[in-house]
Amino acid sequence: MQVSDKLLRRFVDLDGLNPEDIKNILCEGGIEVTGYRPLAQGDKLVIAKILEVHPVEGSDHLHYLKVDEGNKLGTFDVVCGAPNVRVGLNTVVARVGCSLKDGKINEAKIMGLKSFGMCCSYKELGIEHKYLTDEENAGIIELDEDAPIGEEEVLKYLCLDDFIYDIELLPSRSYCLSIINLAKELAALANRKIKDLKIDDLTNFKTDFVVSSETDKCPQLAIRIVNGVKVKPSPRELRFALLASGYRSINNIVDIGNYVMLLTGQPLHMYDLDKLHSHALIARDDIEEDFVALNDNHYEVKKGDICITNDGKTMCLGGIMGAKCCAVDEKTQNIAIESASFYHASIRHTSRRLGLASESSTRFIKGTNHFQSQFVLDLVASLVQKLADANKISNIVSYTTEKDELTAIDTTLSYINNRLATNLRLEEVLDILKRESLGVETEGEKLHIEVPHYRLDLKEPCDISEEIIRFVGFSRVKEEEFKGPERVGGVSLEEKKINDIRNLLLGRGLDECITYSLVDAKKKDSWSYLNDWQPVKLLHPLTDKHEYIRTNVLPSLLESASYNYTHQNKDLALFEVSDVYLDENTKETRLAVVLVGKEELQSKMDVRPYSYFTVKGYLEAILDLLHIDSSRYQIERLVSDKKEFHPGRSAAIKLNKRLVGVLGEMYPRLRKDYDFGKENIVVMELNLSAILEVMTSPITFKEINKFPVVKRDLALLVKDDVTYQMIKKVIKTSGHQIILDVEPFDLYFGEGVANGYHSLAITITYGDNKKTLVDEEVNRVENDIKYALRKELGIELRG
Amino acid sequence: MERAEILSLLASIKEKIDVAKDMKELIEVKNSELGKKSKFMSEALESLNQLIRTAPVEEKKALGAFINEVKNDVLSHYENKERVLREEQEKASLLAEQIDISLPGENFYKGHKNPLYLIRDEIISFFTDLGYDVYSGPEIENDHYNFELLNTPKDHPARDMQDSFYIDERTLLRTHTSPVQARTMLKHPNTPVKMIAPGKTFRRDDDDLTHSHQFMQIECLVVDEGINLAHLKSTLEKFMHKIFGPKRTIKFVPSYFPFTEPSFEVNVSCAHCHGKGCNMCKGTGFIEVLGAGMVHPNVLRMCGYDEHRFSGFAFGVGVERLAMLRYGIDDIRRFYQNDVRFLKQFQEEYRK
Repeated sequence: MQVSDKLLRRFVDLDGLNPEDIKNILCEGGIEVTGYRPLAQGDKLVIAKILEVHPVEGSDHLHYLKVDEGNKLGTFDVVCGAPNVRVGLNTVVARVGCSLKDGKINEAKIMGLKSFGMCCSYKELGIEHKYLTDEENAGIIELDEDAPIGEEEVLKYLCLDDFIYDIELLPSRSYCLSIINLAKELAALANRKIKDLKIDDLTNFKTDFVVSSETDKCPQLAIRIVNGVKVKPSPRELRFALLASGYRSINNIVDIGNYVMLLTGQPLHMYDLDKLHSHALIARDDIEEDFVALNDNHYEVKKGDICITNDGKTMCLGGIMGAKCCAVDEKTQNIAIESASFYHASIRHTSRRLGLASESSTRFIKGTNHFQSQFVLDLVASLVQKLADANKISNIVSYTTEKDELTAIDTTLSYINNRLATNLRLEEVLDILKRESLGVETEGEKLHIEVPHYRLDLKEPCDISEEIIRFVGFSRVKEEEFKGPERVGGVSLEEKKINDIRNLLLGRGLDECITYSLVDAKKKDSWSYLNDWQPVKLLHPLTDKHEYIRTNVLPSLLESASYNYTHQNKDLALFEVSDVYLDENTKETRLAVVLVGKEELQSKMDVRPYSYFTVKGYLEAILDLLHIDSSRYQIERLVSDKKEFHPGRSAAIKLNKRLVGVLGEMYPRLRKDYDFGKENIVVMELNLSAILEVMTSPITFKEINKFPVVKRDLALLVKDDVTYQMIKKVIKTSGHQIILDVEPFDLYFGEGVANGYHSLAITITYGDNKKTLVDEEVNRVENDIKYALRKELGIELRG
Repeated sequence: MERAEILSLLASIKEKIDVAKDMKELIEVKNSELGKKSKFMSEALESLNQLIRTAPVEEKKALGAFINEVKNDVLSHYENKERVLREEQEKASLLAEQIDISLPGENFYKGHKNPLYLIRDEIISFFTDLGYDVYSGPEIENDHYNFELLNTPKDHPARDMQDSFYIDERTLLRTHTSPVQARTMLKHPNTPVKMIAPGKTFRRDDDDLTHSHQFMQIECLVVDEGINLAHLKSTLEKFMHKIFGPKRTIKFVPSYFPFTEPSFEVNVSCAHCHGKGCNMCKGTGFIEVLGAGMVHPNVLRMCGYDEHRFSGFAFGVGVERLAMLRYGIDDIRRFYQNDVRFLKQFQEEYRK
């Protein structure tokens, strides 16, 4: 919010403090002032009268003026381009040497004519375009006929000698949305005196107007009738005080409403009395109708919305906006001024539903003082009498269910000191509370505190502790080492496993990414092999790029890879561990890997393209890290209609019969969708949650075989549809205990090998931990293996 | 041959062995001077052998010794020379295998963590070393945990501070990691707590230089009997010194959060100007880093604690902000872009 320095000073004695001081005092007290700036600028200004106006030869708009700058300064020649120059006009001249917002005024020669200064518009003094009338925007300032010629304190004369503070209020300080309350706050923080506002009761007639409320969402409603007002422009003082607060002046009546709201924090509503059907306003929440608001828009009012009604019709959507039908206009003579209180949640609800927010609604949502209607309506009365020539001012008619009781808080000095870790004395605490205008009674160290109505933030003892620390400052907090409960902390077992997997991949040279969990429609539907759940959709996404909560990570990681690839990073090894949500309650931790291009084995001198076997290696290493033996999982060919994985170079991993991961090379045609050119892309996504669930058995030492092992090689001629896994299984299940291990060491196809076949060389390790093997025994087993391979898989021995 | 003659022959053979430049020459010397038909073998040794056959018994022993001496002398001389030459040859052939030792080694470089994980992991290890537990909670959260148990009832104005992504009326993407506080306390009412909770959080912000609809936060909660503001202060000082170095000063400014009272904004002296005020810190000398406070008694009560017996402190810190301040990163979107030229700049700093 914007706060006028001048207005603040009207309610608190701030003599000797400059804006910088005030900013610092407020900031220390928890009211963040983000900056301050002058309302208007200009040093060597003077009020002058135009004595002569001559057209400038050769120009269609310039005039050559003679201006009277008063007895002290004399008469000067000024060239001016404004359309509203005329003899006898009093205006503002920026003299030679004057610094304005847009630069310095120098002696100038314009079309051969010397000019000693510049006639100013408000814009040149630094007033924003939007606060000015069309005439003011187009021409120079027009002052009254009796303006003091020669006056040099021009900004003061114009009521523009003000500073604007930009303040960001925390929700707990919403009561400072009132200049009077902010002044009290400042008085307390700076230990200064409040300047009380004295207003007389101007009531001069008794009205027959009645008010009431039929909903507890409007606990208080007060009306004052004012007759004989004249709607006209506001005087300069009011206009620029509003301007400094960020409000555009409309007319005296609207301006008074805004001004009183600024001072007191209480939003007002003004009805044109002659447009109401009867002298009654009733607050209700059971109306359903099409409501035409002041802004000419139609809104659907529903049951539950607070309506101020007259003869069953909504005259004001309570706390939000008035109706067009009873709005104050230039012809208005008699007005009903409303000061009411509304239940904040209800206003918030209606305002959000209708997408209609106003200065009133934001204030009511943040909370208002329900006990100040008398003061507010007295203040309004004094202003309409003064500024709108009102002659008849009614008594206040009001409805209220609010009991005028102050909130009481009971606390103790030791509670405050214990919570804050301070050593404050009772007197210090009492001094602060009194500066804060809180009523305090003491009994020993016990404090009975009464909170004034406007302090909506103070409800409990901890709130009092906050007030105290805000005033004494953090330096009063003791130095006390914290150890806390003695215990061994740490991460969960699952987290530890995840960290080990991350470190394994990092150690292998993969870079760890983090991508957004919210994805677009395209990403939500791609690479979804591990589940077929429909992703959760946001109610109100900000953009269609982030509309769904992802159920898999690969699409996002591929996007990161693609970003890199198109930004000159061609060889990539990326991974991400992230939770995904299959629905509101079902979380899975996933690992995604994307490999692009090739791995450098020794700089660029030795490289190896990434392939299916690279990610399979990562997978095997992860499972080995978690002590999951290869006998517990199966790697199967991935069968899918989707053209995302290469059908011949992709696999699914099953653990305890459950699909827990997919891996392989990207379907070549898909590469261009990610701008990968012709690069081979290798990807993997694992359901880590399922993998981490598998418990591992404890490690027990096994005696190392004391007898030598025998290694024998076999060269097999294999049909292409027979896999290594099948061969290994046949060998291992051929029934001989002495077969310890099977390892492939060469794969060959091409010349010398028939089409549809490949040659696979394997090493079989034989051993017995009770004796040294003899050749005859190994030969016998080897023959059995050969027989089984031939019989079961049609494999012939080569060589 | 006379003995003298034999000795002189011996000397000349040894000299020839000495001057051999390589194995080829040495073998030539061996073949010509020490072969079966050589003068030394056929004449000198043969004459000595004949002599020994005819010599009287008492001289035979001395003569035999002489033969052996002569033979061994020349052979060991040869062997020495041969060893020297072979070593030279070996060295020469190894030198021929010389490599350019300045070429890069085989690739064993570690990958790089996204700096958010780098900082997160550093914070986790800092707090677990101090005995804190690490918990996580769901990213899709119930309104009850995300707001209500944190003293932010429906229609509380503070809800507007953090506009949320709702999934339905009661369910949303968590706007902070604070709901983990509530979840932890509810599990073991009236039990001391010392925990941190890192995780992803979401707010309805348009992405720009300093805003991100997704960000990482770390929550800290300590609850016990007698916990006070000094405990919060000393913990945060240690924590901030760990992240930003021991030279930084810490300032607490009054602030507001519904779930703490009193609440503070914690500011750290600007690394650029050391608190004097500069463009980086907008002239204030300090930079806002995190929000903290004493747990609101309402929160303790709603989460099953006796608020008269227990008190606590809590804080929440944005990991992006810490990373941006520590490394001088100017655009929050970089963390989620994963440009490897960005990622590869960050690694453990091993600071004290």
